[in-house]
Amino acid sequence: MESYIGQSVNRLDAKDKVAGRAEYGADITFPGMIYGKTLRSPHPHAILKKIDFSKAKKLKGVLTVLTANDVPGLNRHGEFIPDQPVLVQVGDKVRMIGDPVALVAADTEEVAEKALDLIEVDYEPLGVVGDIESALEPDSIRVHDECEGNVCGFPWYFERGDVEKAFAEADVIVEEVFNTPRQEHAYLEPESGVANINSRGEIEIYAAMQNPSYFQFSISKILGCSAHKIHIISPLIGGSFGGKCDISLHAHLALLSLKLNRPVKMVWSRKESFLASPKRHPTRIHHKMSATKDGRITGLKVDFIMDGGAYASHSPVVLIAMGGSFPGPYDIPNIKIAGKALYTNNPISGAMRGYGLPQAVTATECQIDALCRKLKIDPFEFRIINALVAGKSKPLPYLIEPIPFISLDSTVTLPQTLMKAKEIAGSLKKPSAEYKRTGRAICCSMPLFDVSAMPVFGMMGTNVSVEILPDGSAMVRSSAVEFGQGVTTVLGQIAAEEFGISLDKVNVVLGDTRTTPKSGATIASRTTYCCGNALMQAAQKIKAILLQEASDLLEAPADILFMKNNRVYVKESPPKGISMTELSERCYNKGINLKSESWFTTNHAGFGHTFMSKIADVEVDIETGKVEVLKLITVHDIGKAINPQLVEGQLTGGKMQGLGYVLMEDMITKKGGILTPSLIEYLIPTVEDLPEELHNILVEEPYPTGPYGAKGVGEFGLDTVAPVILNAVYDAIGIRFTKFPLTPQRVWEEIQKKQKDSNGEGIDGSM
Amino acid sequence: MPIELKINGRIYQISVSPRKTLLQVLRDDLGLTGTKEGCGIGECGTCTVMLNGKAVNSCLIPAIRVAAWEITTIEGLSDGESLHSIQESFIRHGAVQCGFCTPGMIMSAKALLDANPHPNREEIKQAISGNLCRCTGYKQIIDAIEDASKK
Repeated sequence: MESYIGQSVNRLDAKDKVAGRAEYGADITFPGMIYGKTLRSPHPHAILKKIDFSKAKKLKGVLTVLTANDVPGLNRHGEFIPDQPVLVQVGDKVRMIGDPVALVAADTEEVAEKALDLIEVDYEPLGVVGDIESALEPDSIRVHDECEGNVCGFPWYFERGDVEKAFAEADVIVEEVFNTPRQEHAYLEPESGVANINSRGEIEIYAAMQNPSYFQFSISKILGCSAHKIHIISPLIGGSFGGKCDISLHAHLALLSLKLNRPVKMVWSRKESFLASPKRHPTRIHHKMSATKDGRITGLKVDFIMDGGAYASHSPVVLIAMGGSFPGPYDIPNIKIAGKALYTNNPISGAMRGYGLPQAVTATECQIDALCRKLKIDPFEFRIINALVAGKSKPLPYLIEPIPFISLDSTVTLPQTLMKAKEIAGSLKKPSAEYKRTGRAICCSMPLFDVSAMPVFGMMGTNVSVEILPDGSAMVRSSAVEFGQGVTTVLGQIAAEEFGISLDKVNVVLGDTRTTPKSGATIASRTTYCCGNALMQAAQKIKAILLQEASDLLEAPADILFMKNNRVYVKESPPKGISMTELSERCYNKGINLKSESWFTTNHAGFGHTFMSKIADVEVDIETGKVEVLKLITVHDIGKAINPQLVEGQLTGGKMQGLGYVLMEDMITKKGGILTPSLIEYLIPTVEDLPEELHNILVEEPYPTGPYGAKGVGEFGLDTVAPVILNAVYDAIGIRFTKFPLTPQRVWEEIQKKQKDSNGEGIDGSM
Repeated sequence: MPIELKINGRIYQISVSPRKTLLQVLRDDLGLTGTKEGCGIGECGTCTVMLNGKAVNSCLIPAIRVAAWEITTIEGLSDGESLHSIQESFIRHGAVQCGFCTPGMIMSAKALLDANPHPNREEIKQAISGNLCRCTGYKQIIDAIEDASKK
């Protein structure tokens, strides 16, 4: 193979996965393993008065029952605000349905389940803060007693220019209130794992997580024990999308295992996963935008509120990420954005693919659609007119001194992605029946990815190690985790390329605090960029050593040597060279170290950025309200696709999650309870929902600081799907939906209203 | 109670609780953890196995009901290192990401291709319409099954 970079090589983990050999948390067993279950609050808000587990303890097969009294250290966790209890203490409050109050360990899962029913708990129910409106009421009950106004953390605010003046002088203004729904990750693998005490008396926790070193730190505080005796190992993860960033069953496993000195397994039911795992924040967005008659956006004012649920989780940072995403890829001189996250007694809101950007982009792109229609300006033209310009546009919100949030010193490829999307889209189909309407829309976004410029979860920088073994094969080690996005394969490809060895000679070891260096969390679409760069830096050091040794052996200067096909060659005369096997062995015999780590950080920008455009064609059945997506096209600037097939997979998968978000995923809550806690009530897309035509086109504008020019991609497929479909529906039937999902019922009801208002005249698009 | 199960051509004689599902017996009693549990109540298709050639949700089958039936799980598809053509096609087409839905998805595909060796894309979609996937977006899975049907 000429080069591994840009090749859609088979995933390194695919064989195990298709053969059923791949090991996830629930597949791990140890001799003498017992089973744990969690007793959870049935109340969304109540004082925990008393727990009596005497009957449970007497049940044959039950080995122990634990409560908050059994937490040796800090009974709290939380990445940004540690406000979430490991187990709720008697005298304290439960703040959501599903809050854990006790743990049971038993010989079998069945006995553990039975034991839960025998634990008698007294609660004193309190008033429920069931939504944003309730949380905002001046005399609202407080979810956390110390948090005035139910505000989680601090409100966020940004201002530039004079937005009121811009509005006063504007030729056109659009103003709208959007309500975005709560979205469930719905990864196929429910939370599960095993804790074991190893032969040295140290706790090992095997369970999916997106940040092993943070979990190690957090659990050491919970157990009141030194971090160096706590080992966190992430098995393969059956999907995550941000939902496995928080401590879920990890501390519970550790507590039970330590108490009994036995391996313990816990597997959450799907319903438990629905109740207790974090979700995408529902938000209410009051969005106002002004423009001149020739299509220049002059002002943007946003007031937004997020329903953070019972505990902080990622709310403090999603708040900032969302707030800063409203201006998008547009150059807007006058801005005023204010937002806050509120506590409610709803399920926790936390990290989910997009991290606040999907909500913000939905509002802005729908408003731009409205502006285009008012001004009668082509939506492509409008977006190009307003696009940021490298070297000219002012830095975007959330300036974090001293690093400007966005550096626009690389190309703004928004116009290319727009024009490419237009070119590919062809023409909109005519409706397939007289009771159907078709419509099309275009949307853009500027997704961001972490570049290791700022601390994340208390850790700055990315560390990846690479080692050439005596036989010329390679070990790559990183604390990144594999949840399907393909990090194992991408790092493998980079190592193989750097050393000129075949991919089957590279072993990528991930996610183990015992052996892998700290690479930061696997979040924020950062892994290819940060871990890729760290790996390349580490590889460069070893390459230099190997080439120096080869240079001595081959009696040729190092700068005319190259590594390919598991050999080191002299450039001018191919037959002269030495195999990597022989070279490595020689180095080892001479005592030369062939292992290196690298600590990658950057300061060229606070975050990396890229651009994408989407076009959607929809067909709406006005008799049933059903919205069908005929075409969903994405043009994405990836910088460089190290593995194009993996990039496609991320974009297609993200798009289908976005399709679910806007068309069908409806987590209905009432007074803190989820009315749809199963996969038959909370519908996620099946194969039947795949659009007739779904295309991903990659623009490869090399990113100067990216590994081989690569940018991030993981979250981005999802971002603009909601607004592009909302706008396409408007194009089809002339109804502006500011609330979704667009279930057939919701669409049908609005169609009825519109027909009634217009005295039974036809439903048509507006352009 | 003692039962005899025929799984992947092999007879297993075990004693199981009458309350156990086939999924639980496969995973817990027989260590065949290739079949995964996504919901335990028949809503996701992750636990799909073949029962006398038909794709079924093993979480809905009482184990004691299927003694003497031909059960095929994902472990039964490959022969040591060599993979079935459907498995190879999934790898080639990038139809695997997190891999959790993959065993069930492949079993549904196997059941389809055994009964209908040359399905069109609609028939493929129908056959896997009960298998949820949250990672891939399904497109590469349809391509993989279609390609496998051509071999």
